[in-house]
Amino acid sequence: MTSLTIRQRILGSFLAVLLVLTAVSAASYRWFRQAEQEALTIETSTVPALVASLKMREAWARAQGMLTSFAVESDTTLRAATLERLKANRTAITQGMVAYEATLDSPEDRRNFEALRAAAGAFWPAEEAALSLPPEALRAAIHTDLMPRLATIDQVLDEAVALNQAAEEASTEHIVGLVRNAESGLYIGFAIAAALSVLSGFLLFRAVTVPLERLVGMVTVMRGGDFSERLALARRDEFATLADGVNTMADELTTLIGQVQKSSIQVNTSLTEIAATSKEQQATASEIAATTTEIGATAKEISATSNELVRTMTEVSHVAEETATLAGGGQAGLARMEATMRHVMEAAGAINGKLAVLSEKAGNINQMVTTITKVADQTNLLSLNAAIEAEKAGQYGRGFAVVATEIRRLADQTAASTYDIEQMVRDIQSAVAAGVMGMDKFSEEVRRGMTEVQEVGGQLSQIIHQVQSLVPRFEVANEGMQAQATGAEQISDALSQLSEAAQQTVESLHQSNIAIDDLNQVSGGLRSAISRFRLRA
Amino acid sequence: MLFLMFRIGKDRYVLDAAQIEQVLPLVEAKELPGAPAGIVGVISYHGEPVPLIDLGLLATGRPVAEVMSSRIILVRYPGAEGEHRLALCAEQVIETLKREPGDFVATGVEAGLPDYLGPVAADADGFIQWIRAPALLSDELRALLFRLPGAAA
Repeated sequence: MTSLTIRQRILGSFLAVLLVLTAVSAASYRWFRQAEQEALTIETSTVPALVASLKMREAWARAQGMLTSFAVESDTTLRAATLERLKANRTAITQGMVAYEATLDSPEDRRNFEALRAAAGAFWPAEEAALSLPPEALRAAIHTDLMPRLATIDQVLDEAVALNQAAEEASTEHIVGLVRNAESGLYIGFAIAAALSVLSGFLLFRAVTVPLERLVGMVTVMRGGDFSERLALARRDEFATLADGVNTMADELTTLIGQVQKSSIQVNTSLTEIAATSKEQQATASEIAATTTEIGATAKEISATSNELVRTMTEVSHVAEETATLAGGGQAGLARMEATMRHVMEAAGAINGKLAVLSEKAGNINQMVTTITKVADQTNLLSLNAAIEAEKAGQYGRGFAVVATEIRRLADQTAASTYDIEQMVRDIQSAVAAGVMGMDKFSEEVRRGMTEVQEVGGQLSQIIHQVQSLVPRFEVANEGMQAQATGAEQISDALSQLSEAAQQTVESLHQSNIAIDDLNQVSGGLRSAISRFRLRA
Repeated sequence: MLFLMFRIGKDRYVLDAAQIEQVLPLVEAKELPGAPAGIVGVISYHGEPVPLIDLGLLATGRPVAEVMSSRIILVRYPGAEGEHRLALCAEQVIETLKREPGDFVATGVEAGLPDYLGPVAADADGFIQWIRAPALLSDELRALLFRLPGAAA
């Protein structure tokens, strides 16, 4: 049931009632059709049969009366008229029979009619026969033959009337039954339709009002600013969709309000920061204004200094020209110095040659000293062996031993002297070697000095060239300095404008501070307005 | 009594001049591969081979310096089959010394020292030690060196 939609419920209710009404109408129609059929049967068959049978009975009764009156009548004319009438009546009976035959509808009726036709067929020849008889005989014939025949016919006719009456009654009863059925069907159908209407109406009412109340309750809660509640309907109809929509709306509103709350806090924080920053900017702008004024003063000083520099540059330019001249003189001096150094180098080479000769001589002396040393050594050895031999000779060798000792003393002195000479020669040789080495070093240094002098000469010529090229540059620098002085004045002017602008900035920052305060108040109002919403935790 | 003075390292030593045959200048010795410690080779003396002992090598393990004052002392060496010759090389072999044998006194630490170190005598420059030439060679070394003629025969 919960999965049905309201639309389906409404359609279902109407359909049910409509179905019941349709069924009742169909049944009633059927019953009334039957009643109509039955009434038609009565009209077309039963009533004409009854009328025909009654007419025949009347005609037969008239025929009996006419026959009786014919029998008693003596007047011939009257008798002929009666006979005429009898024959006419016979025609009427035949017509009535034909009419009745047309209404035959049951086998019993037909059998009865056949009996009537047979009886009538038998009566009319008997009547013809009797009519031709004299009155006496006629009366007797009527009495004996015709009357019983008439009674039989009458009986058959009575049966026919009774049969038709019974048929008419049965039809009437059938009609009454049908009408009663229709009546009760209508009652029952109405009752069912009414009950269905009430039931479906109640269900519809319930299906609409219960969720509607919950929706209204939720909307009332939401109107109070509380978005914490959610609807959960245990059904799947339009209200469920509506509840889902309301839930989604509440969710989105919750998100939105949450974001607005967060944003308002952020806005507030940012505003505080902006206010602080703006105040700092104001202070900074004031400082900038002050600084700009100072810079303006400095720029004026720079301008003055630049002018002084221009004068100084002119002086420097003169000095540079003099320097170039002096450097030219220095270059010539260096060239002379280089020539002198070359002479010094040649002299050093000559000294080296002399020293080599000296070293060679000392070597010769050394050889001689070695020879002398060898002689002294041999002498020493000889004296030693002589002493040993003298000792061996004992008493005879004593004088020889003295000589040997003396020789050895002389040899030792010689050896000592040669040692001294050897030492001196070695000193000379080392001194000469040191001198040669010193001279070599000296020559090397002189050579290096010459190279450096040449380099210095080259550098000096470069200096001269550059100093000479400095002069036009000084002029350029001079012009630059003048431009700088002008520029500094312009800077000073611009700075005073800048100072004014900074002052204006300070004022506008003050105004923006006021605006930020207003904004802060607005943000506070927004925050308090938002704070009345209660959100889901 | 005459002694020949020489040096081993910085110390002075003497040999009895009576045992010395001749003092020779330092000559190149023919090396003897695998010879015992102290024996550096043989020298030729009048065509005769004489074994050469380096006293510096023997006493201090350092060979004598090859200078003019380093000389070879040729000593007569008493053996079982008569006298042999032995060459000793030492440094500063340039002086003789005249002393009496009584001037030499025992050092008191002979025990444990080599047999060739004898008594010492004092002078202005310090002590002079007497080297006993016959004790320079051990018995087996002596046998090794001087059995040559016998072994050859």
